[in-house]
Amino acid sequence: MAEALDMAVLEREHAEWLQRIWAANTDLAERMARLGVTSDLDTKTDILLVTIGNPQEALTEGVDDWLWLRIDPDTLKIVGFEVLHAQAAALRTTGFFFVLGILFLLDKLREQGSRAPEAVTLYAQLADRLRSLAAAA
Amino acid sequence: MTCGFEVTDCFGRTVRLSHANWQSHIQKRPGVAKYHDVLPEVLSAPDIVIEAPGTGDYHFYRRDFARLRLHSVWLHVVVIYDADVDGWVASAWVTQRIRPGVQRWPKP
Repeated sequence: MAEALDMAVLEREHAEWLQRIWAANTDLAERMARLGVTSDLDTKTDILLVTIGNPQEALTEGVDDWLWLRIDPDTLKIVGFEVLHAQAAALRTTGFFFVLGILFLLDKLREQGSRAPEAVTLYAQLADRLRSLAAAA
Repeated sequence: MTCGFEVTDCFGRTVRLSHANWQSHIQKRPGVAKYHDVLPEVLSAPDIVIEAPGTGDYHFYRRDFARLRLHSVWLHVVVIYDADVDGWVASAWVTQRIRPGVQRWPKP
C-alpha cells in the first residue's frame, strides 16, 4: 500500500463510480413506490437508515460525508441509504431537511394505510432530493 | 453473550463498540454480522484511514477480510471520536470505493 494516496485520482475514480451508480438508477422513484420504503432514525447514533423493499446485503458507498448509498453489488441498484449525523445534517442542509420531511410524510401515509397518489409524488420527490444532494457533493 | 468490545486503534486511542449498538446495527444490515470478530483488527491495523472533513468522522478500511458475492470489497468501519480522545464505532459496512477525504493512515 502506498504511503500517500493520490486524492486527485481517488476523487476522479469516485466521481466516475457515482455516475455509474446514478446511471443504473433512473427507475429509483418507481422502485421506491413499488417496493416501499422504511426509515429508522437511531437517536443514539444519530444515523438515519432508509431501506427500499426488504433489507439485503449491500455495498455502502459515500456520496458526501453525510450521505451513503446502499447498493446491490451486481446491478448497482440503490437498495437504501444512510445519513450520518442525520439531525445535524438536516439543520445544516435544506436537502437533508426535505429528505427527513418526506420520510416523515411517507410514514404518516403508511400509518393511514394510504397508497394514495400523493405517496407516488413523495417517492419522486425523495429520488429527486437524493440526486440533488449527490449533484451538490 | 455480549458482543461489545474495546480496542486500541492504530493511533493509540481507545475505540468502543457497545453491545446494544451492534445488535441494532446488524438487525437492519444483513451480511455485516459475520465480520464482528475482525472489527478490532480493522481498527488496530487498517490499510487506510480517511477523515471526513465535513463531519470529522474517521473511516477505517481493511481490504482482505470481506467479500460480497464475487466482489472483493473493503471492510469499512466508521468511528466518531468524542473531543478527539476516545472513540466509538458508529457503523460498519462493506464498500467498493474509498471516499476521498483527509488521509490519516498510513501517515502521509
